[in-house]
Amino acid sequence: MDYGIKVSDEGINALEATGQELFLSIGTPQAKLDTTNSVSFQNISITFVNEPPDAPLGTSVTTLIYEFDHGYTYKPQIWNLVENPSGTPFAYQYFQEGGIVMIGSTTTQWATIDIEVTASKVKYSITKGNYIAGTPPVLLGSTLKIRTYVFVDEA
Amino acid sequence: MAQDFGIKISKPRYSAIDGGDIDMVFSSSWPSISIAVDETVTGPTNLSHDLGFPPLTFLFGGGLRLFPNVTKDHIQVPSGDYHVIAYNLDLSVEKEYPFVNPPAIAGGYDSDYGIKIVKEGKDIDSTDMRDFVLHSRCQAPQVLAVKTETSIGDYVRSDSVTINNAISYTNPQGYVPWVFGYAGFNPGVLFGGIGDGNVEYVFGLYASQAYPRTFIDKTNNTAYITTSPGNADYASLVILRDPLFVAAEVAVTY
Repeated sequence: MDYGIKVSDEGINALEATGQELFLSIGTPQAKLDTTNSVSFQNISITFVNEPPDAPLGTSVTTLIYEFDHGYTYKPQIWNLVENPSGTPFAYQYFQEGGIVMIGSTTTQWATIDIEVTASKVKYSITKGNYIAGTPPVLLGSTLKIRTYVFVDEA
Repeated sequence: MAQDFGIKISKPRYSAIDGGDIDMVFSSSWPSISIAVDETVTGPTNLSHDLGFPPLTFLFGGGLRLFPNVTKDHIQVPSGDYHVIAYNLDLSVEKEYPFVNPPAIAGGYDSDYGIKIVKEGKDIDSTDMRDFVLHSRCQAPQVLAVKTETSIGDYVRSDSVTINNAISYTNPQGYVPWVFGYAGFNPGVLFGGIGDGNVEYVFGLYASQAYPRTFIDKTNNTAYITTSPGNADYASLVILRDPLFVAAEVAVTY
């Protein structure tokens, strides 16, 4: 671009610097989280004082457990980092976006967290699947911790 | 992170000259992530880019965020409609920046001063933050580190098991950052990859049962990625931190 502001890394000519040598350039807009939008950066704890419904054998069932208005009139980009209450340091303790949060007596009874963004809301749901007879996963008493970013930018 | 050159905008009543990073609403020395590729694409296709390096890239489609394979020339887009966002962040070059503790109290934005740069053709008085290249009302996640295969080695987990061929990064105390792990493969190794003759970077899912896979060992406060031993030729661990404003703490019950 022929106009604007560039700030390059130390010792590098800003006029000749490549994109990754620039700390600031109007040619590469910054990712934007609005500091005045209270939902743009949240640490969300969801504690289960009730058990989401179990799925009948051979099916899955999805239950909305939390949602909030994000304040935009379009689908914004969201990032989610989930700390899994059933994970160990070496198995599923953290994941990004959705994933399995609990299993039952076999891996065919599972519960996942599903995170969806619409033009007005961010929605958090638990889906329980039950595909071989056994004990369903139990979330009661556990807490899901989720870091959520809601960007200004459109998804 | 403070440097002797650049642009700094302080919060009201703080000195831009003497203030620390958390006293600023903007500093050009912050390694904030910026968007180098922003395109809507219908896949399957290999989207060309001219960055000259394999970028950290996300795909947004159907409300989900996906992590595509990338090379220094292309981004692999699967079947469907996606918004491709590639950041100005090279997966193949080591970097490390100091950690700055996040602020303890909220506040700081004042609409009467700051810095804003509007996109070409947009109104400088717009209240739609999408219209701006930069606006001191907004902040971005920042780069903490990029660790590459030059840092590969053994990682001793908190359960005393040694993981060979790992790239690890010990997080700032008490802080779990965003971690994106990649394995890089020489041309001809991957089946169904981009195949443009360049090293191809494949995202390592968190705690996946298949390689490459990325973990956070919370006990040791360490993130690490493992690749199939002897298979991957390159690897990368990207660590991002939160922007420097206070998160809303939300506690809900179901």
